[in-house]
Amino acid sequence: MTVSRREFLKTSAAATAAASIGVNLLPGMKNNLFAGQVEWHKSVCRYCGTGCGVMVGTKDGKVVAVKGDKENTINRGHLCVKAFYLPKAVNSKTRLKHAMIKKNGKFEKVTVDEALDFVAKKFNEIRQKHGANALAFYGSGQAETEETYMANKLWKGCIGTNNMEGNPRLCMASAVGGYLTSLGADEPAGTYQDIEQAKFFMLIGSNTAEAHPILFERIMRHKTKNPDVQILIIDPRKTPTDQVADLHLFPKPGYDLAILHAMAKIIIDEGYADEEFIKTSVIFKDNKNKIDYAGYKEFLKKYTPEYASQRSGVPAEDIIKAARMFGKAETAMSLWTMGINQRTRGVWANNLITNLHLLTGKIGKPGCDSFSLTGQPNACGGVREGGGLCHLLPGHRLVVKEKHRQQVAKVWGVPVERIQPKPGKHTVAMFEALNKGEIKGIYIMCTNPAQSLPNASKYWKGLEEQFVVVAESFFPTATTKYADVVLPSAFWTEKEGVYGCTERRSQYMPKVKDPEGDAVWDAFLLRDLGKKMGFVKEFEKYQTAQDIWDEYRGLTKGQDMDLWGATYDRLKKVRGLTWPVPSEDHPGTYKRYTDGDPIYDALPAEKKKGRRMYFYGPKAKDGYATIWARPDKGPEEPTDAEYPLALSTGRVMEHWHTGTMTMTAPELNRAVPKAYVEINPSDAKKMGINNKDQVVVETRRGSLEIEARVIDRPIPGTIFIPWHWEKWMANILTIDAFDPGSKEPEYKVCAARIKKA
Amino acid sequence: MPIAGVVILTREEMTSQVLNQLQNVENVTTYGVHKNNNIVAVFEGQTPKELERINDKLINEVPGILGIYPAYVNYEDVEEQND
Ligand code: SF4
Repeated sequence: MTVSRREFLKTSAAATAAASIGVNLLPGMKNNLFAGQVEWHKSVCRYCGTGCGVMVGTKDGKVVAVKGDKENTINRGHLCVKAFYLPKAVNSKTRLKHAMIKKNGKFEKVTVDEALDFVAKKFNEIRQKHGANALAFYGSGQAETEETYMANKLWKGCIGTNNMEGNPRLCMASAVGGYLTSLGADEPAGTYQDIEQAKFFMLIGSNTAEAHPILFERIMRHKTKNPDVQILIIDPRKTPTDQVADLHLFPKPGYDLAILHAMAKIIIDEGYADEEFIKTSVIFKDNKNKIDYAGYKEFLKKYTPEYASQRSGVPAEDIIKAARMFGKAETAMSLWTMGINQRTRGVWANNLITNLHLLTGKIGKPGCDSFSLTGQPNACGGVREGGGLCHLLPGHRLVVKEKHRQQVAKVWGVPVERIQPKPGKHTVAMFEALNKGEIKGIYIMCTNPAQSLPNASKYWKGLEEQFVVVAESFFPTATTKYADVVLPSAFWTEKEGVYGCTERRSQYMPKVKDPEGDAVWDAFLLRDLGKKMGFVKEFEKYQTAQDIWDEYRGLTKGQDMDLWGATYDRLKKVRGLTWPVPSEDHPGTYKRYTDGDPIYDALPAEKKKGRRMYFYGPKAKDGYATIWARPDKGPEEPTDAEYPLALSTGRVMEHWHTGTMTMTAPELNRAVPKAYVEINPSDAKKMGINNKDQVVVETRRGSLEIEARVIDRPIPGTIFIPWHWEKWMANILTIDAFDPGSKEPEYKVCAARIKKA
Repeated sequence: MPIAGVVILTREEMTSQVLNQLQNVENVTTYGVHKNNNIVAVFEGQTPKELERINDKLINEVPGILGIYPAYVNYEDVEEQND
C-alpha cells in the first residue's frame, strides 16, 4: 500500500497529541509510530522557568522535531506555543558560528583559540594594572548550572573578584530576599504538585496564562474538574489569565502592599487566622525589631479596607471579598512573578504575600504554598543555588561567611584569601562602574544587557568604552554591537548539563547534535580562558560535564539544597529530582520544613515537639518563620501632573525576554510583528488617540515612538509596553531605581506621558 | 514542512461549537473530542509560518478555546514514500 508520508506524519502527530491526554487514537497499533524515523532524546524546554520536559527528535544530526514529554510530571506531554519553535532556534540563520575580534570598528573572523588568547591577555593586563575588581562577569538564568559554576570559580576563586552577577538579579532577586526573610531559606516550600490540591489560588503580579502557560493549563484543568476552586487575581492589567478569575482586583501599579495588609487584618479580625500555628511557628518583626502578635495587630489597625482602597483604587468591598476567599478556603496557593519582584519594595511585597500563608497556616500542607514563579529556565538552579550573584557562593553559601569561603576554596583548590569576604557589585552598580571606568573588562555570557537593563541607554556608554567580551549563540544582538570579542556558544541540544526550575527540580539535558560551526560549550570556553589566564592546575581537571556537576554536587552535600543524590546517572533516567535529595536512594522532597523533608526528619524530637513545621536556613532562628509589619510604600516614581500615566512593561506569550531566541524564528516575529503601547479606551479618548495611531511615549529617561493599541487591558491611568523588541526598546523608558534589599530594579512602574507622533 | 499535533482545551459547554468551527478552518484536521473538552487536532502548512498563523487565528477568532497545547511538532522535509 502506498500512503503519503505526510498522512503518516499527520496520524502520528494526532496520536501523540491524543496520547498526551491518555487517549489511544489508534487502538491495536503499538505506540511508537516514529520508530526508525526519528531518534528521541529526553530533555527540558529551553525557554521558561516552568521546566517542561521535551523529547527532542533528531535525524541525520539535525533537530527535526519536538514532543512534549509525557512522562514528565510538570507538563505531561504538553508544550506551549514557544516550544513550538524550539527546533527553529537551533537551526536559526542568526546562529553565531565563529569567533570574532573587533578591529578598527569591524568584526574579523578568528579561531576560538585566537579569541581566547586575546581575551586572556587583555584580562590579565587589566588585572595586573587595575586589580581584580576591575574585571566583571555577567551571566544568565539561561546558562546551565555547570556553566555558571565554571564562571563562579574563575571570577571569585581564581581572578579574585566578587563582581560576578547574572540577569536573575533583574527578575527574581526580590523573591530570594522574600523567602530568606520570611521562611529563613531561599526557594519555595512546596512544588507544582500543590496545584491539583489547592482550593484557592491568588495570582498576584503574574500573567500566568501568557508567561507560564503550562502551569496555567494545570490550574484551568483543575478548576474545570473542581468548579468550587476559586481564583483571585491581583494585577493592574486585564490579561488572558482573567478567563479563570472569580475576582480580579485592579490596583494602581505599585500600590498593592496596602491591599495585602488589609487582607491580613480582615483574616485576623474575622477569625480565619490559625492561632495554633502562629503560636508554634511564627515570630513577628517590624522593619527592624522583633514585635509581638499584639504589636502586629496594632500595626494593622491603619489598614482598613477603606484605607487600602484609597491607596490602591480597589473598591473596599472587593478587598473584603478577597480576604474572605483566602481565609475561608481549605487550602490556598499564591503564585506571583515580576509584577511583585520588579519593584523598589519587591522584598516587602514578597513578605506580605507569605504573611497571609503564615497567618492562616496555609503552608507546609498539600495544596498550600507561597510560590514564586521563575522567568528563566535555570535562574533557580544555576544562579540562586549555584551562587551566581555577587554575594553568593555555590550551594546557598555566602561570601561574607568565612566558613563558607573555606569550604568552597578547598574544593576549588584555591587559596581561601583569593575569595573576597565582601560582596561584589550588584548588576546596576556593576554597569554603573563600567560607565565610570572602574570596571574595565567584562565577560557577558548568554544574555543581552544592552537591551534588558532598566534605563538601558544610560549603560551603553560603559559597554562602548570598556573591554567587552560576549559569549553568545546568536548574532547580532543589542549587546554584541558593543563587544570587542564575540565567542560562539553551543546552544541547547548541542551540550549536556542541568537546569533547575521553579519547583526545586533539577533536570538533565543531553547533547544530541554537534554544535553549529566553531561553537563551543560555555563551560569549556570559561575553562580554557581560565587556563590561558594562568590557572592551569585549577581548570585542567574538567574534561566532561559530569566532572563539573560532580564537584558541584559535592559542594551541595549537607546544604539545605542538597543535590548529593542527584547523580548524572540518575538524572539521565528520571524526570528530575526536587531537592533536598541527600542520597542516591532518596526520591526527592515534596514539602520542605515538615514531615518528609529529610532535614526536618533528622531534627531531634524535642525541636519538632508540637510543631508541624520547623523553619531552618541561614536566616531562620529556632525554627520560626517571620510575619513582617512592613510599611506600604508606593512606587519610586509616582505619577504627577507632568507624567500622569503609570507605565508597566512585560511579556507577551509568543516572545521571550529580549527576543534573541524567539525573534530568530520568523513566525514568532510575525505573530506579534512589532511593539505597541496598550492604552485604556477612556484615556485614549481624552487624548484623541485612535487604535493604530503612532504615538510618542515619554518618561524622564527617554522617549519611544510606537503604535497605540487602544484596548481595555490596562486600567485607566496606566499603559503597558511589551519589552521584547530591540527596535522599540521599552527599557530606555524604565527606571533603574532598585530595591535596597534585593537590588532588583523597578521595571514594573514608572511615570510616563503620551502624545500623538 | 511542519506538522503539529495539538490538544485544544475548550470551555466544556462550548466544545461542540468549537469543533464545528474548527472543521471549517483550512489546514486544520480534527481527530475528535476526548475527555469532555479536549479536541485533538493537527495543524499543517506548506511553511512553518502557517502553523503560527493557525494557532493565532484560532485563539483570537474561535470563542470557547481556553488554550492550545502542541504535543508534537515535526519540521522534517516531507516526501512521498512507500509504506
Ligand atoms: S511553559 Fe515554559 S517551559 Fe513549558 S513549553 Fe512553554 S516556554 Fe517551555
